[in-house]
Order: sequence, then structure tokens, then C-alpha cells
Amino acid sequence: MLFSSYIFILFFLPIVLSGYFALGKLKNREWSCAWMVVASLFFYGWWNEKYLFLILGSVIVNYSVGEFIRVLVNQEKKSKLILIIGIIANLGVLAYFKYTNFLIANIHELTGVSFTLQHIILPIGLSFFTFEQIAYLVDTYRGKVKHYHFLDYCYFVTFFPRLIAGPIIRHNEVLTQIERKNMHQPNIDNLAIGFSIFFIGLFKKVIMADSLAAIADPIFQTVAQGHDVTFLMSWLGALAYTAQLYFDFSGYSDMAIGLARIFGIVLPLNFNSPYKSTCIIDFWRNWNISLSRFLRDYLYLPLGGNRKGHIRRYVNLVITMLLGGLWHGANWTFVMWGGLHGFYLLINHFWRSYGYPHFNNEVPEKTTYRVISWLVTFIAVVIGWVFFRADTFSSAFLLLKAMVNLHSPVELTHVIMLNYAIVGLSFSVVFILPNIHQLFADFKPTLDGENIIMNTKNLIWRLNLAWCIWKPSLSWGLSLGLLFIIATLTLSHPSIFIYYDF
Amino acid sequence: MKFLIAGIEILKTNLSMNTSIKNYLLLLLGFPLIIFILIAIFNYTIDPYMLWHEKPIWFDKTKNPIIDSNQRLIKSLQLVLRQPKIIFLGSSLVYHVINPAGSDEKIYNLGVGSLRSAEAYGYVKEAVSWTPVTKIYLALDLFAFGSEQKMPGYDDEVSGAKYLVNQFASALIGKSTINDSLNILLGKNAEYNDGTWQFNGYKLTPKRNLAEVNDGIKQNEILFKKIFPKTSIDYINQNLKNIEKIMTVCEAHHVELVLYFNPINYRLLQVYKNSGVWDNFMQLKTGLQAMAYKHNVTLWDFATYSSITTYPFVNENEIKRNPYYLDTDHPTELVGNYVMQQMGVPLKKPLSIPRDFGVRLNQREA
Repeated sequence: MLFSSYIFILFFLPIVLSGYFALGKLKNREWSCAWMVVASLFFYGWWNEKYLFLILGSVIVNYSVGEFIRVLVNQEKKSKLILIIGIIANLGVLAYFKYTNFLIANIHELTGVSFTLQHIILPIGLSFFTFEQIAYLVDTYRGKVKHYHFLDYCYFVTFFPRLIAGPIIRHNEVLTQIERKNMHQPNIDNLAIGFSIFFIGLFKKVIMADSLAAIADPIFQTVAQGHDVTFLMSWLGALAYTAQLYFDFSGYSDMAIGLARIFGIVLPLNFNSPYKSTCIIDFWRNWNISLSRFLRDYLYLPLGGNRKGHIRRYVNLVITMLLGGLWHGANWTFVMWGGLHGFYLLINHFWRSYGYPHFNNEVPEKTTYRVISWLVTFIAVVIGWVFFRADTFSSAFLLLKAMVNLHSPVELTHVIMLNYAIVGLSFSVVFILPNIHQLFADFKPTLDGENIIMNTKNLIWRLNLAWCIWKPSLSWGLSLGLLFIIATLTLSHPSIFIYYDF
Repeated sequence: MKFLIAGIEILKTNLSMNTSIKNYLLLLLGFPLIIFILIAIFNYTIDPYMLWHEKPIWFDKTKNPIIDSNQRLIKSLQLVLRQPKIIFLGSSLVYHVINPAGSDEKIYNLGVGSLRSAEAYGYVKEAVSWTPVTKIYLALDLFAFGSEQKMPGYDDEVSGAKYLVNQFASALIGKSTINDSLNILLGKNAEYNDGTWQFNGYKLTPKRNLAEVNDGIKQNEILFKKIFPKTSIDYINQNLKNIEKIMTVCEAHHVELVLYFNPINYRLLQVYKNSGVWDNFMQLKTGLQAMAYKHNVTLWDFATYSSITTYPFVNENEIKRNPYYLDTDHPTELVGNYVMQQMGVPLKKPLSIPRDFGVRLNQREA
């Protein structure tokens, strides 16, 4: 089920919300939890009921494995063995559904041996709930997990606001909130903030992202068919997709954060104006933060992180980014995208180690330097998205070639100018308007964003921008209500979120 | 002026002033809710898709081409709302021809322009899932067996709850419905004159003139060549699989299926020959007969040379005089009544049908 659909907004959400709080009032917390689990499974099964067995099986097996590890926590070898089996089982399921055909196609490409391609449909959300449960098992092995009730664990894994496309959450972030005794009681602050954030996310997805998709898609389809595009068109396509992806995914994340808040759960930060970053390191601190955090804690650091010298650190970075790319999809273009970002990070770290001292560590504060850094970072990210969006290398290179072909004919038609205006307007929203963490800075919209919120508050105080920060006023109520109305009127043909495919 | 400025100031102050979180929440949810209710009342009243009212307020004032351009969507919604016992499913040779008003049975005309066999399968699934239908008459012609490509506006999810909930909600509060309602309200469709859609799915259509008839013949010749490339006789077999799937669905839901070939006239049969699709037509007939026999499904053939289908139809006078055809493609309501009665649908006023019109095919003929 899509958040941006009538069935969700007009039926599912009101019914689930009413049932959740009614059961909490009439019965107890456990009833509310059970209701939420059933509702989340219904939400998941709405897409394809066959895969309900998969998610239920995954929850039961991982909980059981976790319990085994917890019981055997003092028996290092046994618990480690069970952990390894658990991780292999999780990755095995993920690999089967996500990478079987990719593997078969590549073996055929390399050896010429033909296998029959399987008709395998990737279960929606599999990559996300698999990662979350691997993290749970690893933390259990590390002794960081206390005993949780099975129902609470089900709630944690299946919680519908973030089941399909994240943010990837950790057990300790959410399970502690689920266990709160008053969790099932309605809180008017949470409802007001949650719905406000949800409406903003819905608008970002339905109005902004989908409009930008209508500009980007035909251009990427043209190059996919092997046709050339002009310099202006190529940049239009790349920039439109850059903005589309941001509004699509951050819109989804906002909706997830808002919905969770309605039910009294605060989710972690997932986007923090990544396109304002002045270096790639910052970009990855602000883009899909929950995934970056997972890759850092459960891949980069176990590989050795930066503890084993510069060379090893760079190798670890590239490996992490390559696998991060592959996680996004079974296609070499994703691996290329990941590798490209690994390379960017490598250069960025190299520059920090050897470039900054050369300028006596003073240059980075200068405005000119910051503007140039931002521009270089932004262009590097846009180039990366070309590989991310393109289906094949040939179409990616065709578009990139057009992006540097300054001699291509300039056709400034009304349509192109209008589309550039739309893209420009979208980026002005990205660069000028506050993100939801800044907008709701006084109301702790997400977990672990204290530094950001503190910086935001300082900025607001310095620039006297208090007027643009959300508060429960008539103007905010009417404005956000209006955004919701505009978005809802255009839901006749809801499009799926880009990250649903991952 | 001073009052105006003062008023704006007061409004500005009130708007930006903090309110209680409870009032804020009421406003945040209540404001959109009121707007949605108002929009729904507006769209329900205007009813641009003829979903809710037998004779909407615009009826008789405009011919409503909105339904023409959204037939696939609108008819799928009408089908669920009408809850018919009998359905006539087919192309424009159904919606121009079969008028359920001729019978006392609860019949719905599910004719949509250039219906493809794959689409027919989707609509049959929708009908057996969401209506109390007991009998489906599926009208066939060569168009339905053309390329696999489905027509714009058709959705593969047509029989699913997701589709229906979404589309019904959209029909009440969707942006496109608001546009269509406004267009009707402003009388933008008043000039359109290609017939009048009825509540039962039938379209009351005026007769064509000579130029329109001749133009139709030319277009058909081009169309047949386009949708039936000479190398692609396999289309027939691919599409027959869809008909077999329809048979299976009907069997599973204990719905009686009756197939029939539309009563196309001699001039269109001539177009089949001229366009080189005659063999396809014959292959379709024999393939369908064998399949109908296998699944114990009744099959009628009205696409034969009979006194009705061969009634002279060449010059302007003949076209005006011909009681059986609107143009070379489409029979009149009278022929539709003949077809219904011949296949056992009781009419309010039984007709005397020419004896050579329509033949029930069985295995021997196959």
C-alpha cells in the first residue's frame, strides 16, 4: 500500500489510528501492539499477500536466533556460530530474491553457459527489514540487547510507517519507545506534529517529485533507446532526476517520520538538506542517514574502519560504498554509482589529510572556498545520479557525453524553458526553505538530531527567522492543510516511491 | 481604505498568533475535511461520469464527451454501481447497439470502444468479483483480436479492490473530476453530437451520413492493415487464450457465458476481404467454435450474409432508409433487440425476427 493513495489516506490510516487508541483505552498496551502488528502485516500483504509468509518467517526466525544468542552470550564460540548462521540465512534470502538473476546473467556473460532465468519478484521492503534484523542479531551478540517480548519485536520489525523503505531503525531506538506504558494513549502534540510532517512529505512526493519525474523520465528513456540528447536536455534530465530523487525519498522519509509520530514513535533522522553539503563526506552524513549509519557500523567499522592505516581505510571505504551501491539494486550501474562515491570519499579524505594543512587549516572557512566546494560536490553528486538512474552503462555514458558536449545545438523552446523553471523552483525549495528538522526544531521531530537542532536554533536566532519555524498557529494550520488538499486531489494515479524498488 | 488595512492587520495578527495545539489539530484536519466534503458534494451533484444519477442535471443539455474519452475507467465504475444480473460486453458494436431498456431484466451494457480480448478478461474478472452477474454475453469481432496492445485508459488492475477504491475516491474528490464537472457546468461540451450515453451503458446514436460512412470504410481498411500485419496471424491464437481464460473464470464463478459474433454488414465483410484479414476472421471463427464446444459455451454467429446484414447500404438514400445500420460498422438498436431476443433475452415487446438472422454454432459446423 502506498502512503500517497486514497486507500491509505481515507481508509487505512483512520481505521488503524482509531483502532490503535481505542484498543489502548478499552483494553491495554498489548492489544494496541497486536493491532499495530496485524495492521502492518495487512499493509504489507496489500502489495502481495504471498510474501506475508516471508516477513513472518523472517521475524520468527530472527527473534529465535536472537534469543539463542542472548542465552548463549557467555559461550563465545557457540553464540558466534549461531550469529554467523543467522547472518548467512538473512543474506541468503536477500541474495536469492535480489541477486539470483543478476548472478545468472553475469555467469552467462562471462562463461557463455546458459541458465534459465528465474521469475523472481523482489519482495518489497526485504532489503530494509533484513538489514534491521542483521543489526539486531549483531547487537545481541555484542551483548547490547536485553530481552524483548515477541510482540514488541514484531511491532519493531513490521511497524508499517517505515517497513517498506526505511528509515532503517535500530532496536534500541524504537523498542524502548514501544515498551513505554503510555505509548498506546493518544497524545495531541504527537498527532499535531505527526500529521503536519506527513502532509509536508505527501506534498513533496505527489506534487514535487512526480512533477519532476515527468521531466526526467522522457530524457532518460530517450538515451536508453540509444538516441542523442542536446547539452541543455541532458542537464535538464540529470538535474530534474537529482531533485526528483531528493523529493521522492525525503518526502517518503518525512511521511514515515510523521506517521510514526502520530502513533507516538519518534524515528531517527534520515535527510538533512544533503544538497547543501560542501563536501562528499558531509553529503553522506546528510543523505539517507540511517543507511549510511548502518553501513558504517556494520560494514565499514567491522572491516577495520580507519584503525588500520590510511591505505586500509581507503580500501574499506571503497568496499563499503561498492556494497552499498549493490544493496540498492542488482545492476552494475548501482555498483558503479557506489564505486564512484567511494572514489569521491577517497579524494575527500585525501584532501582533508593533505590539502588542509597546506592551507594552514584556514581556507575552508572562506566563502569563496565554500561556494566552490559546494558546486564541486553538487556536480559530483549529479554525475553519480546519472549512473543511479540509467538502466545501462551505455545510456549513462550517452547522457554524460551530452552533458559535456558544449557544441551541441541550443534549442531554447518554451517547453525546455518551462521545465528548467520547474527544476529551478524545486532547487530553490531545496536550498532556501528549512527541512523538517529545522522547521520543527522546537518539537524534537526526530531522534539523534540534537546538534542539527542546536545549530538550527542558533541560525534562527542570528538571522531572526523565527517566523519560518513551525508553531501551532492558524496560518500554519491553514497552509499545511492546503498542501494536503492540493496533494490529495492529484492521487488518482499514485506512483510508487523510487526506494520501494530497493 | 483604513478599514481594509486594519482588517488585514487583524487577520495577519490572528493568523500568526499561536493557538492551542488542540485547535491547531482541529484546523489541520478539519479544514481539508470540509473542503473534501464540499468537493465531493459538487462532483456528486454534477456527476460528470453518470455514476450516481440516472439523469444528471446536465442531461439533455450536453452530450457529455467526457464519458467517450474515459470509457474504460467510467464503465468499470458504472458496472459496480449498477450491480447487473446480465452483462453485454464488447466494443462500440455493443454500446451503440444493445439497449438494455428493451428488456425488463437488470442488464448493463459494458461496451467500450475497440475492446481487446485481454481487456475483456479484466472486465469479466471485475464483473464476477463485484456484481451479482449470472450471465455474460461477450460480443466478438476482429478488433478484439488485433494486437495485444491494450487501449489507453485500461488498467490491468481493473478487477482489484485497490483500483476500485482509488478510482471511486478519485471520481468524488479527484482533480480531473473537478475539471470535468466544471467543464460541464460551463457548458463546454454542449456542441458535441455523437450520441447520448444512457444510465445503462447504452449510447443513443444518430445515423451517419454518406461521407461519414465512406470515411469509416477507409479508416477500417487502414486500421485492419495496421493491427493485423500479414506476418502476425498468431495474434488470433494469442487472443483466443484470453477468451479461454474468460471461459475458465466464468465456469469457476458459475456464470453462464454466451459468445456471439457481432452482426457486421456485407460492406464491412468486404473490407475484411480487401484488407487481407478474411483468413484471420475465418481462423477466429473456427478456433472459437472448437473452444466453445470444449467448454460447453453457447456461440452465436450474426456475422453472416442475411437479409439484415445485406440490406442495401451504398448511397445517401439507402443509408437513410436502412433500418438496420447506423454506418458500416454499427447496427441500430433494432438489430440489437433482434440479437438479444435471438439469444434468449426476454424483451418487453417481442419482435418478429427474420429467419435467416443469426445461427447458433455447434461442433458440427466447426
